[in-house]
Amino acid sequence: MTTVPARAVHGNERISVERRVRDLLVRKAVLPGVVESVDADADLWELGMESLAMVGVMVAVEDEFGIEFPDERLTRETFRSLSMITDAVMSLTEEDRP
Amino acid sequence: MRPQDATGICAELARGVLARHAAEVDRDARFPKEAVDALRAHGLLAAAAPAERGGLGADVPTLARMATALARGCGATAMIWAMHQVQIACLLAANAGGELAEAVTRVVHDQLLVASATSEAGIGGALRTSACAVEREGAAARLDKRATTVSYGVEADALLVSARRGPGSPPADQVAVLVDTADAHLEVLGGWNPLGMRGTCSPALRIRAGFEHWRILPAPFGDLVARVMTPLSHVLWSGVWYGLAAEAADRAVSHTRARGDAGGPPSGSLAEMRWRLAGLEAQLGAAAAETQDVLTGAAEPTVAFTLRVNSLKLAVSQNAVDVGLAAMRVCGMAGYSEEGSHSVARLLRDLLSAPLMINNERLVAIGSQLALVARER
Repeated sequence: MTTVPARAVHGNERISVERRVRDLLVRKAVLPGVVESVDADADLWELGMESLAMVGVMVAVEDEFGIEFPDERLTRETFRSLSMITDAVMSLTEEDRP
Repeated sequence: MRPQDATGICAELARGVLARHAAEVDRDARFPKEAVDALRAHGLLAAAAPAERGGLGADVPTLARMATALARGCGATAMIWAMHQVQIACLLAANAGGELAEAVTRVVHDQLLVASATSEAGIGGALRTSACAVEREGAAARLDKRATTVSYGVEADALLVSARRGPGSPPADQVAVLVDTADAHLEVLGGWNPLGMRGTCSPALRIRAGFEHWRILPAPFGDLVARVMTPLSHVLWSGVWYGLAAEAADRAVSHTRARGDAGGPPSGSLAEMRWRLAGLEAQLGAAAAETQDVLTGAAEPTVAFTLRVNSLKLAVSQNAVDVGLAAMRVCGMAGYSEEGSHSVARLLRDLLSAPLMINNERLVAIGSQLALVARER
């Protein structure tokens, strides 16, 4: 699978997707008090994210963006930070385009 | 020794020194010293380490077969060996450099016995959460952990202890620390008088240790758990339980044949044991091969993978108990007896620990969550 260099290509869209991801995590009460303002590159696992909370995030992100992560993307690595989740979302929505 | 010869040597030791002391180890709930010494003498404590690090270089499918072979002689020895291999694999996967790398090399080379201290009072067996924390003071660090179950902790040369990264860290931000038991004060809390797996000597333990910073593994504990600790534990424990169940089935066959025609047609339980064992063997083989790929980095520990290794643990722990019970039905009083060649009592008592080692109820709850996103092949 090729990973689209999302940050460079889609500046504005990326900011919007990242904001939606962050809002989603806030709504899901993932790391409350932290996720609202945390740096997009911060390691969520080090901040105390738990495995089962991650599963909730996976489901919520799929529903929010109408995408389905292939199994090889369903790893701790993909969900390590807001920007990595954003990268994954953007590359998957990119693949869906004509 | 070549890795391909290791299973045969395990089978020989199981029939010899392991079987010779198994009943006494079980009765007295004591550490199987003779058996572990024999494993060390044959280089088998370093089985999971690659040859270039001074180990045997056995891959995961081979390690699973070794666990099965050992379990036929003594379940407690096999389980101690299996748990130790997991600790070795974690240490090797931890990206250690400098002094820690040297310490790991010493563990492998000297075949030091490493125990795991992941459980904790107030938390239980949920290994991705810690209450105790590493406290740093200048060049030194220390921790104070009340672990609820530490198998062979008192007998081990070293402990791999999980703790929060620091006093201000959330419960899930954990590190693992390689503690030399010589640098630790171990206090046994309470007794050890369980139903089975008595030789694993797994009491509650308070661990107070002072150590240098380099003993903290650099790899995040959560990554280590997902990639090495959980999958390899489930595969090797399952190897042990499969071996105990296969031994029980063999004793049931032996009992039936010894009775000859006088006992009428053979019990349907004999067939039941075979189909259960056949299913377990296939599932174990597949999970072992997949775990090998994750350990080498050829595959990623995805949600579906985690669900499959958790499913292996659930299936083997339940089916192996069913096989043990079927063997007991076939052997009757000879099976119920703690003595004699057709006894399945110890095997069954050992097997009954299987659903509790990481409680199946919790694994089912986790599995139900993972199933919401897992993509099966």
